[in-house]
Amino acid sequence: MAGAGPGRSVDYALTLLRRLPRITLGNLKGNKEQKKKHNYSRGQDGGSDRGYPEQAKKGSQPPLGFAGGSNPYYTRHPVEWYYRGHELRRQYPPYSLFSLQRNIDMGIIDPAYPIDLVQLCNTKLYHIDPLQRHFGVNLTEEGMHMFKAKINLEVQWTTESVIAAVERNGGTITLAYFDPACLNAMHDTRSFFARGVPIPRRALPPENCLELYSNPKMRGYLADPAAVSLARVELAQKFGYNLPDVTKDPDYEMLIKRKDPRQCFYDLEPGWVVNLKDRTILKPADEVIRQYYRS
Amino acid sequence: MLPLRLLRSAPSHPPTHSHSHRIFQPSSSLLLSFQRTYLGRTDKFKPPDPNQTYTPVVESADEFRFVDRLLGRDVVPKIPEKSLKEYPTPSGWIPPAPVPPQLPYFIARTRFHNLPVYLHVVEHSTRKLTQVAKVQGDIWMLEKELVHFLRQHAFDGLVASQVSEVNRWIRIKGNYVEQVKEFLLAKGF
Repeated sequence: MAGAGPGRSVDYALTLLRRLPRITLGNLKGNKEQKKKHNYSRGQDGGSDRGYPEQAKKGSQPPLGFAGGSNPYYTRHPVEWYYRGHELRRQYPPYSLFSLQRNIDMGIIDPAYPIDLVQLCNTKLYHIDPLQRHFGVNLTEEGMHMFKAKINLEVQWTTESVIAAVERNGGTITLAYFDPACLNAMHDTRSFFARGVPIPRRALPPENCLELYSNPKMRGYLADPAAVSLARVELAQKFGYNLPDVTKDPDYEMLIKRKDPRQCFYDLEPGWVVNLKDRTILKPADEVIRQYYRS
Repeated sequence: MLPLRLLRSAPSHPPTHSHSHRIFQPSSSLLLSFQRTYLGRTDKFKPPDPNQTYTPVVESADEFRFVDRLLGRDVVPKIPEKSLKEYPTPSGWIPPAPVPPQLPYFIARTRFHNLPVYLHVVEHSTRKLTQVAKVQGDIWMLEKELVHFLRQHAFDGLVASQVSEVNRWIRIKGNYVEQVKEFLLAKGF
């Protein structure tokens, strides 16, 4: 009879084996007799004196999270106050002078126009998220020695060295504050204009940074322009470079262009509504509304 | 005298067991209280008076040119002529050779005109890998020449490399980003 011989049954078994799943480390099982390895508790706080036997049998274990001892954790560990209120602090995502110079070299940022947060976010190489308490750009010192561009810059946080690097090349820099409503409009202009809501009126800086934004040494936007001119000369003497005369520059008009303290976009006033579809701007004519948006 | 059962089976009034037979006639005050409870105030649903809600506006197309400058670009712009003529630029960028080098392999620039050489720091910064991406043509020949070039920079003259022929990249163990860029710029990529 066919299939009765030993050769056929071996073949049959082998064909069956080929179809069956292979034995791997993944589907192996341990012995039934194998004991579970006991993990010994280690360290200062590891483990407890209360072992398995009596207490567990009686069900009188201490509650979960019970630490024991006479010194509670809030007196055992020191307090780190420098983290206090970290969830409320303003954040400034950094952007280096190197990246700025590289983007100018590559034509991604146009130095012929004033550069502000809108232009930086429009490169799509720098991002801020106002919902994460980002309050603008922190311009860092990386690449300040090779920085060559002559620009009109507006940032939210920077250092003295960066100001010197910008002004050494004949440029100007301003430190300006924007409230979250304005930042929401500025970090993604296309979606903001598509919403069809009025351009917000910029709020004044809060108390804890009012001093910074009215400091002529940090080129604050609320500082006295005469004091800023004096501070420019002082900084040039401190860092030892010849300050180029901005008034004789052919791009003088561009270099001294500033926003109003209530304005968040250049050349656009608060209260205006941009109609992207018809490519027009709707300006309020009602006197009450105009009074509200007036600076 | 009629039996009690007969009286019960023939009632004088219509049956009231079904709700559909009930006639709901709310009074005017009940209707108003229902509207107040479930619909809110009735005057809320009045059409708005356009004279009261919309304020006058002045439409202007002249200032829209300022909006165009704020909207940004959708594509990466062209490189300025100045950067192509005077290089290296202040930030150290060097353009590729105007004529592509006659080699069996080719490495394209990225969309931001940089060399596709990357440093991968993995495993809690215990492993550093240099990756060359966007390799076209004979990837094995490039690996051979690259390893030969990097041997002079290696501490013990040994350079470990990995080639992904499908994904078109070469990885080298260690941080050799600057040396690899130097090699590729010398070749004209």
